[in-house]
Amino acid sequence: MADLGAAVQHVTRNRAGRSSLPIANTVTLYEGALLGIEGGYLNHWADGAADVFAGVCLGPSVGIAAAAAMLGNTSATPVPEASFDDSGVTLMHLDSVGGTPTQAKVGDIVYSTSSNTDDMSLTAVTTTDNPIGWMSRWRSATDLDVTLFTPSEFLAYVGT
Amino acid sequence: MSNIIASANLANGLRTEFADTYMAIRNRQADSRLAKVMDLGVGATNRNHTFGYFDAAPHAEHWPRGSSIASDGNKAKSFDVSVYNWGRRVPWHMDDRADDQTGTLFDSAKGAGNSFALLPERFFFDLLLSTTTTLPGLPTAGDGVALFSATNGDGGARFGITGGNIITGGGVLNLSDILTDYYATMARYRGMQDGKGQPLFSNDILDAGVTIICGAHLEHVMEQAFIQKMQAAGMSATGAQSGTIVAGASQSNLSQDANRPVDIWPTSRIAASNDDWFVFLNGVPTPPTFLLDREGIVEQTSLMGDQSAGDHTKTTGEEFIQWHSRQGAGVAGEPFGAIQVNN
Repeated sequence: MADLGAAVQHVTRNRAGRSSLPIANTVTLYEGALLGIEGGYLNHWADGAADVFAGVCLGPSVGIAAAAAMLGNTSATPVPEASFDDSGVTLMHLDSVGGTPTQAKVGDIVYSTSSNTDDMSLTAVTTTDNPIGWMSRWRSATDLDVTLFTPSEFLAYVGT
Repeated sequence: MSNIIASANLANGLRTEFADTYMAIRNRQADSRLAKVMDLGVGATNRNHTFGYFDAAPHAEHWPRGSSIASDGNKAKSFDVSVYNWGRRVPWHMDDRADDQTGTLFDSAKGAGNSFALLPERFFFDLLLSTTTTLPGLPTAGDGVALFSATNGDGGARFGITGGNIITGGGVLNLSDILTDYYATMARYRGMQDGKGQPLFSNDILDAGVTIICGAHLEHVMEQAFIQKMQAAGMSATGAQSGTIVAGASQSNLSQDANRPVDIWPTSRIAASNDDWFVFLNGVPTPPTFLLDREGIVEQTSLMGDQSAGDHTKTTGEEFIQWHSRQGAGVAGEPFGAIQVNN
């Protein structure tokens, strides 16, 4: 290929902090879950080595009937998708972040080993744990805010 | 984020007889008794205000014939109260509003706006309990200390009486404990001075009744003490008041016989582990606390069909309704119309 020699009209969408991706096969997602992108599909955040932190599940997107579960089925047409908040939103008033949160730790990296925000911690369980955000406000050890990474910020931090 | 999760109300054929389960509950208005203990009519013109007043004027003193007249003055005091911003947004996806089979998603969300009417009551209980559950910070009273204090900002006995406006209670085990402490508060009120050596309150203020605020767990014993007409509190063998409940030893209700109006306000805003209760004089000219109202509630919506919909809505299909207001609260001058019974 070579440099452009003529104008190209791109189709774009704005970065508005909302995205939708197909759900991994047989996986059921829930609103409010921390999500990762595993093998190209949306999945529970499990902090796998190659996983990319995506954000927080908002709800069904396409291919899911009214009031039905957000169940992944990669054989279906269309493949069910879920929408998620990838804006780097701040989760407020979290009450069970591990690692003994204090005011002095505002700004520290936050990890999670699962899709459950109750599993967040300021301490990595293993040396290979990947961060998902940072503690952005501390009111007490049981009342604090965590600002999540966007997928781009996650990738920039992790360097993969 | 935090969109309304509407999935359970999207099923075809959904019955809606109970769609107003929470909307029908009228819990988003301040308690009607709040106006007795909080002045709700103080406006603000800026984000913080300094309020000032003069101490009590001096009283007359003997002027010996042939000598010069004694003079005395009173000094000015001031205190600061801040206004804070309050807000709430409730977002949802436009499809969920359209497809919600109860048809109540929007009206249900509006309950958050109604909740702003609760702010004054939430402020009040922060001031009452010295907590920052709602308010970011607690202002002090004009004498430099909190709503309840044994001493004033200069370290002296507040309101000229040892203990200030805090009484050490005798517990809440039975109604005689309550009545004993109630009369201790009345004695404390009668003993308060104006800073110039004279009683602070006149009888018409003290006899106008009180509002008692207590935890919901104390409602039983409070109603026994002040509402129950024939009380079962027993007497000892010598006829002295006893806390022991003795069957058949009923007597009439002292506070009612003495024509002392008592309005009881039990509330879950005071934890069940907190046996403190609070006695407010109904007759004081100014309630001990006040709401500082800078800007009333403003409602804004961003709906897909509206020309005024925001860019976020047009970009994502995420609609919302939000409210904001600017209010604060403080202790009105010096809170001599309130006493804490500390248990």
